[in-house]
Amino acid sequence: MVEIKNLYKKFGKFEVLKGISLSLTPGKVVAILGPNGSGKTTLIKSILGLVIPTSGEIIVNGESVKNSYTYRRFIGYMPQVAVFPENLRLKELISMLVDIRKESYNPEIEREFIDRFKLHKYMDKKVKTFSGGTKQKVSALITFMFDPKIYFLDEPTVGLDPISSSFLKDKIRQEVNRDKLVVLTSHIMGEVEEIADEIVFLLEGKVYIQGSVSEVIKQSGEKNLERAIAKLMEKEYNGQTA
Amino acid sequence: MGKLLKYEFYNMFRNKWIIFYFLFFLLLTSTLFYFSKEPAKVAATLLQMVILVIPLVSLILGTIFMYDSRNFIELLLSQPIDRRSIYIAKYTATSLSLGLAFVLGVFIPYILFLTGVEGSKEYFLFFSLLVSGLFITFIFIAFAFLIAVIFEEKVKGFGASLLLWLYMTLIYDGIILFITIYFRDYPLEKPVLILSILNPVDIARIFVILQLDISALLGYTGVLFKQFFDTIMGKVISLGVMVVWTFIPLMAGLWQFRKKDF
Amino acid sequence: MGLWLSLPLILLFFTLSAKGETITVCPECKIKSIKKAIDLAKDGDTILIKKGVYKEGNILIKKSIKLIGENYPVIDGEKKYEVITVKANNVVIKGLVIQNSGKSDIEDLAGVKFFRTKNCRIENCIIKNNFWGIYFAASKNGVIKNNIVDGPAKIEYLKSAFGQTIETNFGNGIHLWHCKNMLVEGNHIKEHRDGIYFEFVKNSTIINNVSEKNLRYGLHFMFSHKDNYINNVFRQNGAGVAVMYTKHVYMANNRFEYNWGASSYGILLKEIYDSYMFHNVFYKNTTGIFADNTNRTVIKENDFIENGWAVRIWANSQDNLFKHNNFIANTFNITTNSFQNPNKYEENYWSDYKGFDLNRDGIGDVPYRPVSLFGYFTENYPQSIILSRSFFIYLLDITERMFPMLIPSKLVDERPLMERYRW
Repeated sequence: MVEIKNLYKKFGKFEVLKGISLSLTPGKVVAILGPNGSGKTTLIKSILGLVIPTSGEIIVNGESVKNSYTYRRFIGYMPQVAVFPENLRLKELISMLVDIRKESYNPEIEREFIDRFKLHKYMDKKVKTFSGGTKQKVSALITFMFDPKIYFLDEPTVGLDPISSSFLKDKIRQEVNRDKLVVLTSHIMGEVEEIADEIVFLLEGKVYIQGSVSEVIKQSGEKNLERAIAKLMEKEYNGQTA
Repeated sequence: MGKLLKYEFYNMFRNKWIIFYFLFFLLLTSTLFYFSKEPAKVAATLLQMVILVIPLVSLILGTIFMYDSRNFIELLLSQPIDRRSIYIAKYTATSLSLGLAFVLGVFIPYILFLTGVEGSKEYFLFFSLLVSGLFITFIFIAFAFLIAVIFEEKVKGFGASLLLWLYMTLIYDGIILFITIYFRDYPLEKPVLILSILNPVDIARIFVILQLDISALLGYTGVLFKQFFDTIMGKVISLGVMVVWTFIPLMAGLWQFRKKDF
Repeated sequence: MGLWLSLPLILLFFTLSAKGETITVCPECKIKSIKKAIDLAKDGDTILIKKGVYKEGNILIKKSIKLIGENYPVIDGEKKYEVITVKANNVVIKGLVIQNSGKSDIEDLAGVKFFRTKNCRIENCIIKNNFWGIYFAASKNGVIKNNIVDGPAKIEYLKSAFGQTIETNFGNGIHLWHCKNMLVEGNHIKEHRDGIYFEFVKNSTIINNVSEKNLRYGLHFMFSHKDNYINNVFRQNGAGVAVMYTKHVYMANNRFEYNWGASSYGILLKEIYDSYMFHNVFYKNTTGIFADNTNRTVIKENDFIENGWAVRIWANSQDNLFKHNNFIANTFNITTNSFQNPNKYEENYWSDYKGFDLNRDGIGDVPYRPVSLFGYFTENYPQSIILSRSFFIYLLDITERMFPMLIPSKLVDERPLMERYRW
């Protein structure tokens, strides 16, 4: 569903992605992990078209990403920090997005999210006055309500209370069961272990390890994902100092 | 695109800066008309606004809006929307809103005070003033967007805006003055005319002063300029230059925007 | 002694009032033609012309008679002839409409021409649509009073004729050449080439006239010494007023206004000496006073309001005094092409003066520099005027006011007035 071939990205002199090739198939939660600056966000943004790759090819749902925007009708994206137009009320933000992206909009999902996140009382308030957690909920709502085929969730549960967080994680699992592809990043390894099927570990702009969660844990010989990942990162640090 | 435009406008009209900008011109023009009953004198003062305040405000607000809406742009970019549409919609909404705030801020008091005006109503003078102000807005918003797209950092963006403003309103005229002094032995009317119409701020200024009393001071130079601007050709050329000046930074900005990383 | 002085006056009175006969002319009268009446008349007779239109070609007067119109009879030159020509002394022309003189490239055909006359008067006449209006040549002691002189030269012609010589196809309104002791009073002249034109006219007075919308100058004189110009209005003339090659001009209470145009002056002074300008108002002219080689002239208690240049004074003008004038809202107050300052500026009021008056004596404590840097530039590099109202120029002017470098440092009013001088 998402095919990445030999992807490079330079920001000025700084090369962030150094030849990434990946193949992501639907029906899975794929967690992209790696130390800070390993290129996780750049990779996701490249797929979304927010970052223009230096070279390489990205194919989403059979369509090349280059100079195209129509493929994004399959995609839902939750950025790390959600900020919305200053002067819009929540109601207006939602209706605006529905207005400009009609395709596969699902009012059922919208209603469910509003109920579960208790967003009713915010509908007539300006988005800029919301707390970080509320903004995150809004971000989740506007991502899920278009019922996309592919989700990119950058730190989706940051700032959410446990109830909302659990709901969101349940939603993610449900979506995967509906044969969707969910790509996420997270710093909470417990969470990754809980919901991810597959892990892509990036190191210095390259895919260091790709495999199922259990495989990765098994390979490292540690008892859980957090320790497994920590061990991988330590290697990198040692590698650097050596 | 149409829908984006709708929401950008919607957003703009509730922007406090736009409202403030509109009220500024409304108040200024009303006050000027209150103290001076002569439209020509009011236009002379407003001209200073057109050539100083509009470029500065357009540059500053343009960059502010662009920097502030960065996250919104990211949100839109993750939707199935063309980058070109996002940029053009944002530009159109911003420049038209600021332009409209200026036009209405001047036009409403002008129409209201017109009934009490004795003597010349100066329709064409105000028309030129409004058109000039509108184009100056379009041009400098386009520059502001270009600057905001090129410079990641706000501080650098503001610095570039100020430099551009200084160049267009100050340094350029200094260069013209230097040329008239340094090459005084040569027939300079045509080179100065050409130099002047290369700077949109100078076009706006000259186009308006030619219709003020002051045109009589311009002597032979003025006659040449007046002849130029009085012909259809001259008007078409100067409007054409304004349009070109709008499109150069707009297209450059769009080109940068399309290959920008967010 | 009084008797000796008054004796000639008494004699004069008797000769003038010596009652001649009156001959009446009207379309229904026995005498239907003015020419016929003139033939019949003797010196001292009066010809009374009643209402009607008289087309008699050129009417030549060689006798000392009076032509008096009743209810404004019309004497028409049919665009072919000079309407009335006077070649006698003591002729009075009154109450006539004199119109449609011919036009010629060789001759100055006029509505009324006085040639080699003494003591002639023309008053209360309407001089309409003539090539030249009222024309006095080589005459003395003439009076031109309360006439309306309305020419054919519309100001529109100036625009189409800009920079060309088409304007010379029109004559002057009141034209005096080689005259002495003349009085021009209360006339309204418009739409001629020059409104009032004097050449070699001495010891004369021009008072209470309005001269407007003339193609070239409202008033134009040369070599006309010791004349007084009082209480006249010169308005909207193509090039304003030009006075040249003359000594001892006295000008008071005149208004020079709305003389707008690329080469238009409130008044152009060229080679003027020992003259005096007092209580004149210069309002909305491109240039209020343009002084070229003007010397020893006093310009006192005048108002310069909303002109482009209030005063342009060239380096060849020396020893002039500007005192107690009001300079209000002019684009440029003084400009000069000189680095020196051979003239004096004292106790004038300058509306853009920003100094203060600590001792409250009405005189600013900081000297005022009436020449702006931009004014200096425009005088020396005319094209730079195109930068008018540029922000750059504004900053430049402020800087120069604070740190003078280019403009003549002696050109300064040491005692600028804090408030408008009331006169």
